[in-house]
Amino acid sequence: MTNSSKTQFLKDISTAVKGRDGGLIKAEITPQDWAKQTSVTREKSRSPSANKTSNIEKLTKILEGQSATIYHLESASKVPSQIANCAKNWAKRTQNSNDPALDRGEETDPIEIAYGDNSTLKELIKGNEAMLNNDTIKLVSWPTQPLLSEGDALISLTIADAAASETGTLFMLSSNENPTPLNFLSACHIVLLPSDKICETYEEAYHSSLSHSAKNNIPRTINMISGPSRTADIEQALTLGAHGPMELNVLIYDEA
Amino acid sequence: MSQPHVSEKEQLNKGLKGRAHEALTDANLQKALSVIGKGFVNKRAMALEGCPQFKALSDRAVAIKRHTLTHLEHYLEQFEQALNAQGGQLHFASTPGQARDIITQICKEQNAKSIAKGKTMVGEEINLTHHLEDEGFECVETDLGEYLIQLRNEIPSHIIAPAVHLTREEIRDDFKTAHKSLPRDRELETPQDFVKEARGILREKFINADVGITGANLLIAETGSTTLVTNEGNGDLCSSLPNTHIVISSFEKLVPTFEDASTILRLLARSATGQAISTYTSFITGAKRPDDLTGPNNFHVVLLDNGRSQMLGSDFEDMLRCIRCGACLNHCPVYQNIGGHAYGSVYPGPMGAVLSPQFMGEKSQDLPFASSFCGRCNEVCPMQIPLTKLMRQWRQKATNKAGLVANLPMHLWASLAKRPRLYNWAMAIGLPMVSWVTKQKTITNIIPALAAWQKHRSLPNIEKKSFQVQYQTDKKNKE
Repeated sequence: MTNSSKTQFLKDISTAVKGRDGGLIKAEITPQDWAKQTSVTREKSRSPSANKTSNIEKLTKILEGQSATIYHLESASKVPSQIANCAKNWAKRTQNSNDPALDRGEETDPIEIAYGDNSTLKELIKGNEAMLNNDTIKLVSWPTQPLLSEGDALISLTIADAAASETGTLFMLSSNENPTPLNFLSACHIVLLPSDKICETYEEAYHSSLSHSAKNNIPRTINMISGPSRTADIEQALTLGAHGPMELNVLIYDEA
Repeated sequence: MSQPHVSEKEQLNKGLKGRAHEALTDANLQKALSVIGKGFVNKRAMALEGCPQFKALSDRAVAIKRHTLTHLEHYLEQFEQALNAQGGQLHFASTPGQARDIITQICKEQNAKSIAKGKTMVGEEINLTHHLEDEGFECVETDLGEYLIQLRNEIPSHIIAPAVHLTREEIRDDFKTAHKSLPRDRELETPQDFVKEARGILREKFINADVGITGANLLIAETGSTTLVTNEGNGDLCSSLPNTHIVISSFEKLVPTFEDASTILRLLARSATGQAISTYTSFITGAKRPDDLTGPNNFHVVLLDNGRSQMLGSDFEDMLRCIRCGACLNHCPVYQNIGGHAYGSVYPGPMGAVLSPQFMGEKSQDLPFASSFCGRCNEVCPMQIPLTKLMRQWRQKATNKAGLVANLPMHLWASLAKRPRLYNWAMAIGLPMVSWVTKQKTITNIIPALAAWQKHRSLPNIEKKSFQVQYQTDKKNKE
């Protein structure tokens, strides 16, 4: 905006700040010291204690309490078949629904799963492509195939970059392989979560996810997701599927 | 959806007392309000039980905000630089008018027709939606609660549950009137029915929107990120689908780092809805990256002052720590009984009674009087804001302004209390009379103030002799 409005804005702040009790300001540490203190705690959260089993248990318990469904897979090789199962179960559950938002068109059409052309995912399904590309199920890349309304794909598939067990929270970083709308536009969301990406705190999850992200640069969007979409705006009654997914399936597996 | 404000103005003219009286006799509103205790209050209590470190987090959060507000200019500068580095633009608005103009300008530059809007209290503060509609844009509220009140042309009655005052029956009527394309005899019974219908209607709005507008719960100086907390996911669609995304916020939302944001996030949902965390918390930093498939090409953050800078350096600086969780509303016996609209301000309840006189001036000068000073708001505030103390200060200001006549009884009392001999003499004569009168029901039932008092409780028995006299007598007897 124009410089004058910025000048006025900052002038109002600095004028008011001058009215402060000088003693109070001196008692407050400088921004440089604040940054130093933060870097100490940040180092600690970059090397968290390895409580893998308890973190997985805690994350599972809390996420289930927040209406998500968790699947523990023996190995990464089970991922493609479990994706297919989730998709088929979803189609079966919503088959006789009279909700137009869940109408995927002709019964005989394949069930479409939208994903973001993700290299990790391609690696995971290598050799099992047929499981997710046949007469009943089809992987479609978004946004080539929309994910919006009647007749479109209703299921989305994304990969979590980290998770924090403290509140059952998945961390999803936006990229060309993981576009943000895939986390919100579908009716049924399937998330792949490698077990060694499960941390305890937000800080641990945040820094571990960023350390893996491309160019170590902060992405446009980081979504922390802790269950399916919900609202309580109608008489404070909890209702799932407000604008985002009605269902959240999390597949936890050990990376080979 | 034009012709707003008419009913609002009428409401304002009624004054707090008039509006409160209407609220208390509105059966629908009372039914809707009755769920607050069972809902928010109990859920918050359970959430805190599951978080033994809550007090420590609260202390830390207070320290974070104190630090940021002390070095506000530094952190504003840092935020702007980081934001610019990611293709975002920061705008400064000293007044609501400036904020509205900046946003209108951006929408016009983009040749926008339709705008999808998430819930933002700063947006409510500057009456943004009505303004954009008046400017000729289609501006749709996408938070379900905000959508419900947009259909009715009302202001929110709660800062996190804008439509908490509405019953299912009222919503059904509004949906049948507004959604004309759907069959008239369709079933709208369960909350699920309503949510499904709104989802279908609003989905189209997201996809066709040229501009998305959201608020921000926190701004992170280090990375230039804006933080968006929702349960529905509507804000995330507003921020990721349209080609332009505008965030409207205010400078007190700043914190230095992600770590500091995390601390406050751990308090926010627990205090607000009783969830450990809201379903979606998103950190949005700048415009889309070059290789992203989606995301806005234009990203703007508008910061509103509107009197906030005047609170800096005064006792009211404490109020700038507010994270808009709504716990003080939910626990306030006055709010629980009269609801949000009776306050006549977009910010109701104890936090509104402190903020509104600052933002709205004389129009809301009576709000700080809507409190019994029971102090529940102070106890439940995760940011430890002394709300009753600040309300008392507003009362003091209002009373000082009211002039000599209004303050006469207090002046008389003060001059009596300063003269002990005169005081004792007045008591010796006055007390037996008062004591006799209060026992005469035939008399007390005629005196208007006393009659009103006795509707709900009985008058205390007034002793004939003052405490001082009784004490002296007792002392003499013992000797």
